[in-house]
Amino acid sequence: MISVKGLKKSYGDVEALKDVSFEFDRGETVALLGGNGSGKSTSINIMAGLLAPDSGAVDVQGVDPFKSPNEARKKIGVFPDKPGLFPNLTVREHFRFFGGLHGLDGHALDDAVDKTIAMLGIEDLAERITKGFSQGQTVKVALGRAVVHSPDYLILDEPSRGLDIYAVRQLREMLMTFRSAGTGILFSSHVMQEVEILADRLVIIADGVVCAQGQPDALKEQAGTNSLEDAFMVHVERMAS
Amino acid sequence: MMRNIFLILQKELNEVRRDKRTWMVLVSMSLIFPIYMFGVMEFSMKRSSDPKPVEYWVEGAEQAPALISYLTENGFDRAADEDSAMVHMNIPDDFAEKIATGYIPIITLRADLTDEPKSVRDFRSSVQAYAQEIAVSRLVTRGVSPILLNPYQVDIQDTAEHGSMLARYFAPILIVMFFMVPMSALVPAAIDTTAGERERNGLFPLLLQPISAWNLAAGKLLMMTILGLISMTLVIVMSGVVLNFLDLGGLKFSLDTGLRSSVLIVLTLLPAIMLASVILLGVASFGKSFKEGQTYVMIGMFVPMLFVGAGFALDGLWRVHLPFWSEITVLTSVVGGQSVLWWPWIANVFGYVIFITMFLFLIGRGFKRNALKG
Repeated sequence: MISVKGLKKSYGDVEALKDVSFEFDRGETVALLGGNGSGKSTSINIMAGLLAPDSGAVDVQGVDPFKSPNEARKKIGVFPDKPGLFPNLTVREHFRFFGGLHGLDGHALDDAVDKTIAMLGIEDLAERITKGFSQGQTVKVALGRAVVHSPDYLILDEPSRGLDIYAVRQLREMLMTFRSAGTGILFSSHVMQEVEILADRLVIIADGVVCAQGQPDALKEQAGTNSLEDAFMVHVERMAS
Repeated sequence: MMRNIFLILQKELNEVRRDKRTWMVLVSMSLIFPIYMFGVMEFSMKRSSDPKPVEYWVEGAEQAPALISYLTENGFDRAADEDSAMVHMNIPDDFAEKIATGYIPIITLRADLTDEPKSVRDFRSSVQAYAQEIAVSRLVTRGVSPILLNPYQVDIQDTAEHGSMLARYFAPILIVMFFMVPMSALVPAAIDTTAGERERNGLFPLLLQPISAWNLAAGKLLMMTILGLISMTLVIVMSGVVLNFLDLGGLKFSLDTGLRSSVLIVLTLLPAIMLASVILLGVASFGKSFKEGQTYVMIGMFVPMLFVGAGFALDGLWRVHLPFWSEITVLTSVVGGQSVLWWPWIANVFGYVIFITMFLFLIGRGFKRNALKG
């Protein structure tokens, strides 16, 4: 389980996180919802051990990512909001490199890379350098890079941004496959249709505070609406008032 | 830790081997500069040791026909026209009369001494030598031995050793070729692997992996060092080839490009190449984009240039302690067959290791900060 408790983080006078607490376990998919600047990316950076909070604690399956960042990172795969591929590396070289950083080598690395390429259905792209890839192809490589070491947890920051409808459906199917295999998934998104289909639970952040969390139906019921989008707005507005 | 550094190095080498811009700069600079530098040196040395024949224009030649004959016998010809003459000689109208009556006439020579000063000096010496001949014949006519004019002679013996001559003439050239050329050749790679990677958002996913930022910086430094070594090897090979075709007068400089000698040169220069690489990497990492990285690197290039410039201002004792100069001192001693003063080099290498380690740590911290800023 990954748990986040009482996170606070300020950048100068700006309080990015005031009080953020949530958790997610293996085999479940949790959607992190919030407007721009609500603190989603800061929370993800803290979970990955890139940022230290001013106060609060994070536990990645028994590991504190600030004391042992590398140990924590071995358990998670992160899909950043900007994929940032290396344009002169082939897809296979990307996967070998990232798998290697997670301690895979020899046959285990070869198998993991082949398995990831097959799972993403990109055999035809495997030996091509990623320069000039379409947005959909880029997302697939970035996703493969995050999962090549078979992490226990997958954190995705707006993975469907810029994708066409076909690529979105493919991505959704892949995430469902990971969940079925027991991977814990936390993803942020602004697309409520995607959230409704994928998420087992929702965590809504507004102004650096978790204003609501729970199953989609429960949150809709608390907000007195049938639409997830409306429920989101109601919870955020209640927080603001 | 070493495995992670090796993985980063492997990734960087995979990227850079497909980067045409890096190779274009690296190969062209490393191959062209030795031709250019040694070519300029040969040209300059030939001009000073093998002067152009002087053609002179004379006014009042009829006053001193014997002087004109003397100059012709000594290889100085009269110019066909005034404009093409290298030296203008004016013999006064009363020259013959003054010579006959024992007065001292003045012959005026006009020449542009910025061009071919040695040739002009030779011409002046010949004119002066003719005056000596007149003096000698006057003394002989009066029954006085001309030896009285020279109670003693001075014999100048050049004690400069071959090695010190090499150091004097070649040290600036070697500094440019072995440091400034590889360093300039590394610029595109340094910017691409730092500011360029940041611009492409490639830094952030790297820092999300189980690897320290220090290891990341170290892997990038090793990639740069390997490129620096390739550049240096090309410079050595090309210099060896070029020197076979050049005539550098008495300096007899040759570069042994055999394996043993090349390895010795490379190992001597390696720590300084790493120092130059880490400086480039550090300054380039401030850039948010390739273009911004270029600006920082242009400023950063002044750091090694400061050391190089300081070397020209300091005397030999202090110079051997400066980065880049200590390596060149060792190198010229080896090439010139002199005993090698190793300890300043060893002391410098020790300093480099400390500086590089600290700088890598700072670069790593900068990577983290930059990745989060985007």
